[in-house]
Amino acid sequence: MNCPKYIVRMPLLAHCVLLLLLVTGGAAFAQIATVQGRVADKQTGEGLIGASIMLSPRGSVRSSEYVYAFEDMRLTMPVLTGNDTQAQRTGAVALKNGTFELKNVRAGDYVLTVRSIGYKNVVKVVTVSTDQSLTLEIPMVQDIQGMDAVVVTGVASRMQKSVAETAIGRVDAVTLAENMKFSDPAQMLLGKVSGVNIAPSSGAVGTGVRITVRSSAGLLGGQPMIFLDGTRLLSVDYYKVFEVDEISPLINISPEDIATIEVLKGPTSSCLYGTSGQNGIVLITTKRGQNVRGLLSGASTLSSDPIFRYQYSAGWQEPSRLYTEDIALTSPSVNRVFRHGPLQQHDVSLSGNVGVVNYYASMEYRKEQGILPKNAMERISGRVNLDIIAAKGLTAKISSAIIYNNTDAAFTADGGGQYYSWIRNTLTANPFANKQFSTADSLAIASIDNTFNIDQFIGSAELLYTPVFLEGLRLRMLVGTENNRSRFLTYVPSGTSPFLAGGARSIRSSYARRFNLDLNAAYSREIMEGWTINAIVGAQAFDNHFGLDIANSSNFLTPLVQTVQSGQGAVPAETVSSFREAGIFGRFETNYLQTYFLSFGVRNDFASTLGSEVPSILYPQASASVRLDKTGLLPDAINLLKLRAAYAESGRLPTLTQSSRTWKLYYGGGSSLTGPVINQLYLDNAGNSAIRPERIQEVEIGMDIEVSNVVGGEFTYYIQNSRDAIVDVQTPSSVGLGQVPQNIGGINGWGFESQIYAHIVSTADEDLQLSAIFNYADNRVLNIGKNSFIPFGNPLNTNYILPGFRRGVFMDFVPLRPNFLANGYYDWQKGPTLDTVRTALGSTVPLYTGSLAATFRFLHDCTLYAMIDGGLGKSMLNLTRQENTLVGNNKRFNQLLTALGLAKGQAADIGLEVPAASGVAVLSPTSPEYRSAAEEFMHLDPRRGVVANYLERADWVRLREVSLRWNMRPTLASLIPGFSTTLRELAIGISVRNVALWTNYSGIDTEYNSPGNIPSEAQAQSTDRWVLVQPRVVQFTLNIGF
Amino acid sequence: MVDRIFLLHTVKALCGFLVALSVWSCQDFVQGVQKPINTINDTDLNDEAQLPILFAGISGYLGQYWRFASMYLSTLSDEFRTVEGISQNNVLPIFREFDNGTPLLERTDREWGYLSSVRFHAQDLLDRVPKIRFSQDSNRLKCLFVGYFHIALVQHHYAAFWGISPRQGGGVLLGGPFIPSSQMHDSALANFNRALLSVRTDYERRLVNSFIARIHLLEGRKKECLTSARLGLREGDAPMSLLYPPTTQNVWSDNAGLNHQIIPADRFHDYVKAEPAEAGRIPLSVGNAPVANRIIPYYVQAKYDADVSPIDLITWEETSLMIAEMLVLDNDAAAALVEVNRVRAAVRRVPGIAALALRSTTNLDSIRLERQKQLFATGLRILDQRRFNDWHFPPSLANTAWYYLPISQRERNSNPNLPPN
Repeated sequence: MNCPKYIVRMPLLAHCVLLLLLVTGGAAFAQIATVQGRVADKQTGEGLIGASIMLSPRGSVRSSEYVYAFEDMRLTMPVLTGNDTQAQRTGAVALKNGTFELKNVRAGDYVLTVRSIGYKNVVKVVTVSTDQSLTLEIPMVQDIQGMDAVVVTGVASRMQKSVAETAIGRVDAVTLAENMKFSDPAQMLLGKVSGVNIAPSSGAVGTGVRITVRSSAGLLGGQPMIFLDGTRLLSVDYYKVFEVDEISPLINISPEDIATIEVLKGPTSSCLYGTSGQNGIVLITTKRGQNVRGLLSGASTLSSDPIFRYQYSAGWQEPSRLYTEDIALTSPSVNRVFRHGPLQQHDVSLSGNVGVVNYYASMEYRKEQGILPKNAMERISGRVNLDIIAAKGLTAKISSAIIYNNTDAAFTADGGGQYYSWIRNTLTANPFANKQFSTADSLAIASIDNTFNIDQFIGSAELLYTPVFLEGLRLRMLVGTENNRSRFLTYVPSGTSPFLAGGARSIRSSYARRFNLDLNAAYSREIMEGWTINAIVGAQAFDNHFGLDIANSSNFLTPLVQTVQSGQGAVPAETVSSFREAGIFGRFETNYLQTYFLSFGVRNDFASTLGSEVPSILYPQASASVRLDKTGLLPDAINLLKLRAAYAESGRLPTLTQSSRTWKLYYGGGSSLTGPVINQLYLDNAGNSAIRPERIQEVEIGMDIEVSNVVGGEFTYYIQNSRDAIVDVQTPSSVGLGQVPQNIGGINGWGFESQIYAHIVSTADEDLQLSAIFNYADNRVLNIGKNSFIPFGNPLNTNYILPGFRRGVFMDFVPLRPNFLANGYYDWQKGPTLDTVRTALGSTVPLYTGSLAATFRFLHDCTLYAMIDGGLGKSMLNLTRQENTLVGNNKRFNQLLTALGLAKGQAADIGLEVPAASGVAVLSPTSPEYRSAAEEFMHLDPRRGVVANYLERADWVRLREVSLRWNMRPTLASLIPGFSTTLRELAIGISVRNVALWTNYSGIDTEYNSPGNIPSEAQAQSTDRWVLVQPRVVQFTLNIGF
Repeated sequence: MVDRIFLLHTVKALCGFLVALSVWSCQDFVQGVQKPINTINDTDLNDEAQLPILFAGISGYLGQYWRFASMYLSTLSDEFRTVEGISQNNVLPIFREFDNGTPLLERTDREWGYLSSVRFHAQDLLDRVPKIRFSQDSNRLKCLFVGYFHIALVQHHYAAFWGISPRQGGGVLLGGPFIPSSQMHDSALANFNRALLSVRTDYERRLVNSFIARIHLLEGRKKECLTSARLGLREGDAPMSLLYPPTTQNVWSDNAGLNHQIIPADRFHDYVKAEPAEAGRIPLSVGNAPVANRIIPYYVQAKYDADVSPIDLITWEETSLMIAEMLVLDNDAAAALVEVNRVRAAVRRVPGIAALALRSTTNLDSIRLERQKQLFATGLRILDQRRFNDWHFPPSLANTAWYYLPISQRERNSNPNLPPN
């Protein structure tokens, strides 16, 4: 080698140093340029502060990075990828007026990616020339439907919504909560996501909801699975005491903490979550801290100013409707019981970035009183979310919340609590006895304590790792836990009610320990130009442990001492239940040119059993979509046209005891023959060792379209099919086995869901967005084996699962003709002649549902928001009216009673103690008018054909949400110098919920959804028994941000 | 090339191993769940030490069944009636329906289920006998006796107290077709006879024979009734009673005690008024009903005045009265009188009142009266009303009032062999 000596003689280390100097020196002296510009709203021209601008050398951007992302990169850019710190990449955040500047950019071709929350991503190629100062104007189009947001498409899959292969519902909770004040996440979902129906279980404060997704996949339906930041919550949790309305776990989640809510609507998208996700998944993601100043290499070490937000809200609740004489003659009594319940709430949050840590911390205090006395809730919660860039490519995310909730639960429902129900006692009192209260007076009811306390911790720790040694590999581990302790106390003082003359006390203390684990690995790679693959494998596990300690006693000698042991019959009871689920899954996703998408996967699920053979089942899944707008075949005006199709299976595994026979002991007596005993043996579970998992199939096809970034829609049609449903079938009582789990058939479900949205006006001063949702969901029960139907266990056994009918159909023997005594009077004892076969009379869930929402910003800073929802095809069993009729509290019934001569003291007095109504002509028993009146009277008979007589259509349209908000900051900033630097946010607003209701139902409210004693937790019974009307909630809010 | 094939197989094997490991891990994880502490595995009951628990299942359900069923039957019969206005406690609608003879079919879901559970538990006990290792043969015999006896008892109750329609008595076994009373009673007799093969004491033998005698009485087989009754319970024998667990509220006192509105027919007070010593077997309490500014006394049963008052299923007194009735029918009034007076002499003395006077003559009517008094508030009165076609329902209900407890709606709903209504 012919080279200078001094070089040859240099030691190896010196070679390296020289090489390094050459390289870095070369870089230092390379031709560089500056890229600057402004990011602005295309319509309004307003600068977008906080928009992120990334400049990546062309060829270094992997399409998989955006298609198969960990999460919404727009929300978490600073902590996202390990490649962000690579030297050749650079980036910035738009600051004042949306301007940005990137210095020291080397010449070359770059891919410019601009992202801003609420706007569609801008991706374009730019060329930076030597010694040039490149100026870019970047107009951004609003993403009104969040199509560019990354949504969860499977247990370990995330995609932009615009390319997702299934219908994913997504609620931008931040934007939503800006305009409207909510008390829990369920309210945020109501009317916002197509295919999802939310029904409150009562108008009382702190009660639960029923969530129905699509047509509910399994034979018995069910609730969707709920995750909060990856922690799995049970959909239905806390026990009821004395028939108080069920309490939902969602009531403890502060809406102000929520960033997004996503809904995976059926097996096609929830398949890989396993059997518990057969009825959909609700994924609630809370807010995270953001580094809005530093973004990429170098800058990420800077800390950003913390963002402090405070919101104060105050208002009241009042009954959204009042009783009228048409509902009950005693309506003034019950209306007098209602009250204006004050409420107030404080929300404080702090978010920002310190070095490698992004943080979000919040506290909430909410205190509200319901529209009934003794109904109130006090909730205190705190949350800390941390994102830590622990090392290059390694991010740790910690989410934690502690909640304290103290609820005074008013008695409103049927069952045992009816005797202490404000509504029942006032409404169903005999109007002619001059009584306001039927079984207990107001002082007595007010003396009852019925409180529910819960202390809860919900937290998750997540590790995301993108190793630098293998580009495209992503590893994720999440551990979630929910622990709670609750105490339900009911104390009925002596003398309150003749049914519990000596008083009673009941304590239910429960604890729950839940743990879930997600492990998954994903590998994405562009295997050839434009063709990207993504492979995922993973495992999930869930451990649930629940314990309940009960102590009841009654007959207290004195109210001075109230402990359980002071009463008689103090009996402790203990319940412990545990179950575990686990699953392993794999999924393969691929796309070509981000235009054609195909995925398929499989999951094997396992569940605990007391039997020897672990229930296990394999579920497949496949889906595909095509972005026709990217094929070049469509006009430019169509900026999105996606066709999608998916098939998946899910199911329901047998529970812990369904495959084996188990026994329990219960308090019981003996006989002189076999000796006295205290506890008797009873069969707890008949068991069925041949039980198989229920299998549910779903096919979904859909289309997403958006035109000119202004008008769009999502349309989905689905078919669900369930086979081998596991049902605890009531065997003939004479067998003695009670209910035996059997695979007895299935159900077909189908439906159509759609959402249309439009961004009609968009100027600096005015903005109008409209959104409409229309859903249709139906189902038919298939053959269910030898047992012709399954009655649900409501008070009258009126809902059935019957082949050929909708799930939970109301059935009854219809009255055909009245019967008359020999003297011609109506035969009250015999009642009407009933049909010999039951007739299907109505459905518990609506056939059609929908909503219409409008958000109108005017005068630049004022926003008016309104949402209407409604439903068609639902029936309500008005047992309130039936009970009222029995005590003479039904105006029309009393008139007919008088006309027919059956009232008190009349010729054919039937002993109802109802006096003759004034002004009503008494008809001759032989007259045709009498027969005609008898026909009408027959259909009000409260004893025979009750369901036929008191089932009513309950279609409704409700003006659900209205709000008005004034963002004061711009105005004040223009008036007060320096104001804008002091306050980031200043706004006031008013929100009104349940503004008005229009319905053909004669009762007080169409929304009552108590689960009662039905075999599944999901199926609504739609039975009105002293239902509490939904409250109208008026709240004023003040938002301040620093 | 070989290396690549080897590598491929190695990767395949590794993947297979990982999948197998994952499956095994999942199975292991889900089965590591904490076992319930409040349930008993079925096979754990195949143990001699668990016999008291197995017996308790039978007797517990029998008690739960008869506590309410006896009240329903007494209200359905002319023995008790529902009234209003004597207290503030409402009468449960179910009792009003039984009083009117028109119970809804679903009203008996619970009691029908309890009675059927007695049969199920008894059969379950018999099924376990071959699986249990007995240390003493007497325990095995007791199992057989208790099992067959209770199956027979259930069948007797199906036949005697239940019906598919207002006038057609009988029951159902194991979800099968309706079995009329006489046929059901034949099955009961067969099982009582099986129980007799396993009796361990004379008392058990006599107890079985008393039930057999009642079956023959109801089926109109006089000779067989007399024969069995003579082998049945005798004076001094304890009744077969259903025992309440401590602190459980007594159904009778809770619904037909003081301040409640289910009261005995007026004639029972008349009986006591005529013969104060009758209070020993017709215990009554007096209450005061405020009606229109005045107080009207009313009488309620006081037989079950304590929470733990047991309910008798059969007594030696009933057996003696069966003998007396059969003797009268056999024209042996003198012998019958002995039995009647044996019963009267044994009536519990009421403090301060002379013992119940003995009768000098007897006949069928007086025995029927003795039965009414002796069987007061036991639910058995309806058997005599049916035997002697002695009904109290108004003419409008002459054809529709139930003479039985209706086989429940739930059974009709779930049993494809039965008509729905």
